[in-house]
Amino acid sequence: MEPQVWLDERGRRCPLPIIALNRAAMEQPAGTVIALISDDPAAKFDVPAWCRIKNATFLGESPVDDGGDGLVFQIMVDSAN
Amino acid sequence: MARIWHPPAGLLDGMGGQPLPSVVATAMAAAAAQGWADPRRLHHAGRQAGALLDAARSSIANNLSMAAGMAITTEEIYFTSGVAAAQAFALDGYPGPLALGSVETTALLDLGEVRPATQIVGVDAYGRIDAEAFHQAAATAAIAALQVANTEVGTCQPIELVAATNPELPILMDASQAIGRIPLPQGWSMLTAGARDWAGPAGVAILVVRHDVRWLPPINADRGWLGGFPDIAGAVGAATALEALMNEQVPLAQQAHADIELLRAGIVSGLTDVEVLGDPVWRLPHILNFSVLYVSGEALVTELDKRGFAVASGSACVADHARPSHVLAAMGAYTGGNIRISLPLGCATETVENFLKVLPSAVAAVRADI
Repeated sequence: MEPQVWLDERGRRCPLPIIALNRAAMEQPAGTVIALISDDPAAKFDVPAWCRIKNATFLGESPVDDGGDGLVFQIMVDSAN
Repeated sequence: MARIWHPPAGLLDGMGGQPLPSVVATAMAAAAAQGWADPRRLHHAGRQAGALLDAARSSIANNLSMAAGMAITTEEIYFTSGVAAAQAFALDGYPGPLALGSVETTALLDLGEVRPATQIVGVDAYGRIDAEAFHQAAATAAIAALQVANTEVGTCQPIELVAATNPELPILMDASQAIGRIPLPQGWSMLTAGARDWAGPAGVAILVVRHDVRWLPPINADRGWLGGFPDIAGAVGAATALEALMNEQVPLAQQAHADIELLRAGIVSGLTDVEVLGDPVWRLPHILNFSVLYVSGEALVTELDKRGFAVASGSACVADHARPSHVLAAMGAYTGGNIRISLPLGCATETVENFLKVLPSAVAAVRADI
């Protein structure tokens, strides 16, 4: 599934990437796939936990394409958001 | 009886330390004045030091017997300098593969890492080990290591279930924060705890080895002291502080349990976007852990400090290695905006009530800053 929204939060630390993710999720309709790029060591734990708390679907994580630091997290906005 | 603990108002980080009760400080000063000699010496001063050390060891055996619900003898008690050292001595004297939970202390996980064939068993969302997975790991393990309860989130571990389902497997049980707070579970073979946990001095911990355990002291334990010269004043302080706690164990635990219930309810009703962590029922009475979304743990700890409250945090921004607490990570918990509360002994209910009054505005102030 190709993400419709990309958030590049590299260089920003907790809680900023999660705040950006939450803001984007609130603006998007259910079913939207959001990709968050983050090099915050807490993101690996906090993105899936945020999805669980906020009833979003955590789709997975993958390395960034350019081989740099950080991970790409993909989530799907749920109708209950 | 007048309470001997007088933590400062606003102290909600008892695990981080609390002032030494004056009766403990007085006992330690007297022991230091009388017990300055080498307790192995046969002269008068040496015998005097030895008698103080023996009496402290015996007092700890008595009070620990009460905490553990079974008879523990003086000879089963060893003193050492800290819980991690006690665990290292315990494991050094008991070779073979180790099975442990993923939420054990980082010191114990480090000890497991350098030992061959260590198995780390995962936990559920409360931080409790999967007893079935632990049973499978136990099949090839020589020894298990588990905390009575996790000291970050308070969740109790199923020690008795592990002991019952693996009767041949000795359990090295870390009773940190649990001694004198809850009745200890049965079924352990070796036990560790630090005197700081019961408002005793730093630098004194105990290792208890049941008489039927095939443990070989890795170094000579002179008069029950493993590693280094015996700290006689420290041993006396540890014994005095444990005695004081055991005398008031039940009312203290009941009050702490009720105060944490109050905190849990007040946090859930007073804040939005908050997750309270750990088992709400089968837990240590005095510990609570929660994560507040969209704030940094560091900023929230600082904001609460400005308002007179001392709390700890497991968030990455507060840790010295810039990674979130391995306990929160293993539980799959949200690690940002994390606050760890541990009520010190003697904590007044008003401290908890006043904390609940300022918490919403502290969170609002930190959120508004971003």
